[in-house]
Amino acid sequence: MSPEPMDAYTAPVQPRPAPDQSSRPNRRLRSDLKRDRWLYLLALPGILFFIVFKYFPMYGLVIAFENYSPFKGIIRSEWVGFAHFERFFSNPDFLLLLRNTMAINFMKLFLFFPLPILLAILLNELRSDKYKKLIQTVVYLPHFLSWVLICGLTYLLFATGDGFVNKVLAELGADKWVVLTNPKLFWIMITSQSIWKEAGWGTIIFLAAIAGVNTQLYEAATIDGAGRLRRMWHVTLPAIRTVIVILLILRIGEIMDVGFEQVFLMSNGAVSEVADVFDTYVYRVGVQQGQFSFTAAVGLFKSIVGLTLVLLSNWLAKRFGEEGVY
Amino acid sequence: MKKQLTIAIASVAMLASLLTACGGNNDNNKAAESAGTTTNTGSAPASGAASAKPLKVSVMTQQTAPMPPAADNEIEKLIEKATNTELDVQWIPQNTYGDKLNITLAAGDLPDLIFINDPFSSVFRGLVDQGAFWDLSPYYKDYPNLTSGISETAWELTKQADGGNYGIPRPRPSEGAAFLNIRKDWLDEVGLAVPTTTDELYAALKAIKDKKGITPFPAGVDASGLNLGYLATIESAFTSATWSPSYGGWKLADGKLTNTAFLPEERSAIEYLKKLFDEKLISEDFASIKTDAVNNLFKADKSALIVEKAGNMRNYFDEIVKLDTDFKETDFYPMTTLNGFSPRDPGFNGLISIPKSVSEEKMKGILKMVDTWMNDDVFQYQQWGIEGVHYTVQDGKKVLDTEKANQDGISNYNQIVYVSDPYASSSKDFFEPDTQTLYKQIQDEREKAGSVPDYTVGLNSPTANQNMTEINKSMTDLKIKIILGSAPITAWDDYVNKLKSDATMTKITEELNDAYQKRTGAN
Repeated sequence: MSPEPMDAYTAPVQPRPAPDQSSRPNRRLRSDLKRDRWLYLLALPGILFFIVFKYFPMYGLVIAFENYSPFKGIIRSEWVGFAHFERFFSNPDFLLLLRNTMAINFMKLFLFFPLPILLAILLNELRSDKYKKLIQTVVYLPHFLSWVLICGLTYLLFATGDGFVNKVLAELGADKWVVLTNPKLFWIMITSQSIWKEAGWGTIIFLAAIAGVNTQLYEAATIDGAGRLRRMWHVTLPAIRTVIVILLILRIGEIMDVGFEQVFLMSNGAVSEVADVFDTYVYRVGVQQGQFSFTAAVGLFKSIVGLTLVLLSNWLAKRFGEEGVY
Repeated sequence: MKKQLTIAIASVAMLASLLTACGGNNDNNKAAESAGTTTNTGSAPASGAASAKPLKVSVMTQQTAPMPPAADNEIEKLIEKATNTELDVQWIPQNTYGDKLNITLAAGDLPDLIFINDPFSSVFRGLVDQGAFWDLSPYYKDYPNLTSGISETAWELTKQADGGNYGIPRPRPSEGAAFLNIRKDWLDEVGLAVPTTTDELYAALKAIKDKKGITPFPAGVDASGLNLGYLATIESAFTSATWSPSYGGWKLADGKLTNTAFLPEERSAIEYLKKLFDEKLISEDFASIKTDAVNNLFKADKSALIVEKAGNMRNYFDEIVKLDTDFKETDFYPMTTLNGFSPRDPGFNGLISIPKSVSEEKMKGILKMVDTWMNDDVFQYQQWGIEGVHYTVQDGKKVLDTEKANQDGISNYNQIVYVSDPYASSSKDFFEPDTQTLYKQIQDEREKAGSVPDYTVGLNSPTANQNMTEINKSMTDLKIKIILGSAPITAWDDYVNKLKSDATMTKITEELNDAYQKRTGAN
């Protein structure tokens, strides 16, 4: 995923005409390698990183197709083909897990994704630089809190018995508001927590994009009589459209991930039919019951769906004349 | 220009995701690294030949006291010296031990001596089938303490499918299992006797709630979500079956095991719990509250009932007495039975196993180490610590400084080697003499009344290994919903009727009963 920065380095070199265009490609490759050897050397650690830590471990995926036993090892474990996938897809829980995972992610996509954009545009409009920096720091902070802490806070606030909110409601003589054990509120609660934690952090990339917008465009718009809202709508938004599309595509690739920690910490018996997602299922069946192969198959299925969605949305983006991720 | 900007921004995004990915990887690497180091020391050729060179032993076990012992503390040095070993212990907090163990087993990098918390988990069974651990049955009888200090029943019950002993059972008393303990001082205040039936318990909780204005029994569901946690004890009082962590509730009647879901008493238990919930005698947040929080409420003088071994009383007493100076040790009062029921422990708690990667000679060295460690003069180090540091002698009696002992985590060594005294779960030598007499007497009464063991211990049902977790989860979810009032009690009847005709459940019942018949027939 890192070739982009490398392209940036090699870009100025490329226009130089290669020494002998006519020779066989093999020799050309060699001379190219020779010519740019220092650049390749610079890139080597990065390339090695991806081979060693990202590509090589993928070899472990074969356990999804065998009855993996740690003692026998990957090579000698019994090969079962697609048996684990069949068991997973025919499991009555499959549709439930798919529904919950999708529901939480679509909620996040529609409610959470636009927020950092909005926040970044609003931050950009602030006149006082000091105030802007202060707000930025404050909204970044929750990102550095762990989920354990945030879930703990949620419990303190919303517990039915002695949660802060319910204590206040009781003081006011109102009915209790059951949040933690209410299946109807679970998805929105998860989404709200994510927004609280990550919305500020998400503005970083958009702010960087907005900073790159040519100020002449704003001046021209002002001369043409555009007010603040008009400038946001007609200058800022179109200027960062590409970034939005790229991030959206990357986000769609994560549609099968919910974030195990958060859901695991917030779920309980009363809400489990809306809270059980692929990640918690993998934990329960894989880690707690030790069915490693079966859960590797579930994980592989998740990754394939994610990859397909990225490719598909990238293709769609290009069809509509946007720049894709690659 | 535009293209370059896009690229730059995309790289920032990548970098951000890369950074977080790195963070994740780091942890894994660290874990792998530490696992790696333990095996390295483990497979070091320094096997304890007859020479005086200390035997290097790497150990992985759980940590139950709040603090892990420091790597080279005095207690460990004393134990090492006495057993002529060099220990390298990995302490894993108790809450996460099961997960950590499964991951370590999956990775295949095993220390020389590893604590198996559930000898009947499918992971451990699978590894045993493949010959990953030493069968100790031909060896253990050569070590006197392993036969005299560990009951025959414990060795018998921990036998695997092929009849081999793939680990030393960690002896524990069978009587004195974790059960209900009630605040006697508050019972006296409301003028009630210690409850012996669920109806009396209800009356007591209600009276205490009215008097004290607290939630008297703030129980929480087990973190695994597979059983009702502390409330499962109340279910047991109705069904007279002790809950099994792996197989759920099974009642033995007329030589046959029946899942408690099929008993009418289970339905009454759910209705009873619903009544407790509706009248706010149990926590309104019982579905989401964590066990730690529940225990802390008891320590904070804010609850009247707790499920615990009486032998752990001091953990609570030391805290409560700070808030309520009149609180006496015996005010932490273990209830004898409830509806005639009290649970019995299996007489062991997990195994310590030696993987096949250890040589036969070294394996014998480790058995020798455990054997020596069980001698009184060695075992007392972890019980009492060092004189002047962890205990003092007053009037010829040892007095333990619980705070210092906890701080150094010396009791954690019980998680490697332990010598069982039949009253150890109920009473400790450092309790007041009156307390010791009372707790021991209560234990004797429980035994006389016939405490109920978990009959499924050691039985193997392959179908249950694969499916019981999901069944227990859905069953527990439904119970929670009924108690909360978001599902009617009739939903339970529907569920049970469906479960009766469920092929998987029928097969599990058959397999468990076959295994049970086989065991009792053989004995």
